[in-house]
Amino acid sequence: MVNRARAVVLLVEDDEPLREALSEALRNEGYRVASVADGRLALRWLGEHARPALILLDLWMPNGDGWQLRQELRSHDHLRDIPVVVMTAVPQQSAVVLGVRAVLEKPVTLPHLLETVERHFAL
Amino acid sequence: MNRSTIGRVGRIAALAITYAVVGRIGLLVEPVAGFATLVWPSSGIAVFALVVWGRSAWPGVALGALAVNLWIGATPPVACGIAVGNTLAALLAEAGLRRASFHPALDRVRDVLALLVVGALFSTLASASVGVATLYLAGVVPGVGALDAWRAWWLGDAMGDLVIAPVLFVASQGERAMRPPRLFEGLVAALVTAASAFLVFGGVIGPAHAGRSMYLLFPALVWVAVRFAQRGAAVAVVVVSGVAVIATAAGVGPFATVPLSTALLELQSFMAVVTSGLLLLGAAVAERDRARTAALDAAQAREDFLAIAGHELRTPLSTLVIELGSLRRQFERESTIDSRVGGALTRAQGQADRLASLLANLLDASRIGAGRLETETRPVDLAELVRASVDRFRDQAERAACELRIAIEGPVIGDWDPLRIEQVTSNLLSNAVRYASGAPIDVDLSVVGGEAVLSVRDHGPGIAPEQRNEIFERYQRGGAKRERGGLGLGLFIARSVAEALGGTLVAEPAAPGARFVLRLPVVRGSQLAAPTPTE
Repeated sequence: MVNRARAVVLLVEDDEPLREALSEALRNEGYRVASVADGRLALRWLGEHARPALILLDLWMPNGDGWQLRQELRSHDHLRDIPVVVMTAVPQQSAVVLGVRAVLEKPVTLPHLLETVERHFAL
Repeated sequence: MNRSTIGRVGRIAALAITYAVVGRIGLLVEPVAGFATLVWPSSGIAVFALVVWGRSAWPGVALGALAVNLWIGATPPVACGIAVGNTLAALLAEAGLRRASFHPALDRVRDVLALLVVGALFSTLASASVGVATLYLAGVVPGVGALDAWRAWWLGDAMGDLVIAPVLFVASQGERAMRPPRLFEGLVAALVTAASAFLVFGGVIGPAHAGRSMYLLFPALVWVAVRFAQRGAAVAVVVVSGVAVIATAAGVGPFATVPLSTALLELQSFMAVVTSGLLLLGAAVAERDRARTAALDAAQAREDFLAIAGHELRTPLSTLVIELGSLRRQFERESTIDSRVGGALTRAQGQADRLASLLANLLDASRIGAGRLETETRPVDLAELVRASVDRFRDQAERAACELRIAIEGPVIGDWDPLRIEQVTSNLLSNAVRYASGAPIDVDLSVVGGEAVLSVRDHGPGIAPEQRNEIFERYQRGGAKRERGGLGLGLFIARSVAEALGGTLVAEPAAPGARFVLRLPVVRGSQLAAPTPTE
């Protein structure tokens, strides 16, 4: 719980109701959550804030999708090793190629989501 | 004069000159009574020009016909009479084809039939009748020769419509250029066609056998029509006709055993039948190609739609699943959950799960349809996988009053895709529950001769023998269409997955009930991947 309160989960998801549901569910578990709607906003957020403990990333988004963001993260030294958990409605092997920690297939159940976040949350 | 008038005058002049020059060449070949030739390509040029440029181009036909007849020595009244008949024929053909909604591409059987009946058979009656009547009235043709002249005129004009018009129509379509391999095949086919025409008509085969060797034409003609549709058929018709007429006029080939006018009459009758058949075949092939393209496009559109719909539906469903999970956690944390609320939540979560699995099936079906089903194999214990699937299924089986009886030999270690195996197992189990509620379900796993054999047997109504393969088709459900629910995708996906994993899935007779048997090869290829014992 100590860890959870100190660092942030950055949630990148374009669908607003889902973004709110996920933020709320994680906050209820004691996480600090920052949420943005697309990859471009995520990069801006990362430039302005301290490093998050985990990025929860939707793959299909209109502006700067998850693949692009993942590539960007890998090209920056200080962002490269932030754990990334991908959420997708269409699980594809490309997600594996991107070297993420886990791929969650939508719809993901809450216990599965929490267990995955817990496992990869790293300060 | 404005630009469109200049264009029209130019087209009329071009038509008149082409008509006259081509007609003059045709009249070199044995005209009956001086004017009625069995080779009259100009009629085809006239029909083509009026269909493509509109009937307002008719003065080109009239002027061309007038010019060519004056050229070969007709008196002005005779030339005028013949020109009237020829123009009338072209206008009749144009009007008839327009009424028949004719496609100049000749890519439907009805277009070829229209050209055959309206153009070649019917409209040419006008030119032959008016032309021969003019010659008779002018005293050029005596009454006894009129029928021969009329027949030659009619057949010559008809052949112009059948042989020359199609190649012009097809050439005017501006089809896509062919890629090199196809272009090469086209060139070879054209060469073989020309060679067979030369073999049959060119006097290569002695006169005694030539008449019986005409079948040698057909392999090449069928080849070009089947592979190149109307493009091939139209060009082949011109090539074969050209070789045949020139050879016969030169006195060689199977038809050159009688006086030239008779020989040409017989040759043109033969060619009329060959041409009609070939153009009809070309049109049928074009129709088939179009139908195939349309079917493939429709299938692709459906796959795309399924993929997008599946994706779009999953996002709100995700929100629903997360919110239901949050509610449950909140109630549990505060220990205030009322049994009624708890029951309602459980049912809501169950239905959300059901929606999720229906959607997963839709998405998988579209991936299978598009040939994009992916599997990821790793060493796993099949026995454990099946046991876990069955355990996850206990609630559902209990609700349907199905006793689950399990006989699993294990462990069965091999390289498999655990998620996909789970998918097959749960599809088979939900199928059993759907069709055989209230009766036990037997799940057996054993290894027989290098194959893992998983059988799921229910005690329901069973499957009629004629349906045993059909039920694996997409959107198929056993029994009455709506009574069982489901999308009819489960068995289709299960079999596709089984095949993607190198195995088979079949329905076997069982009395009573149905037995589905999944056979998977036990492959333990990746010795390297096996964990190395460490000290």
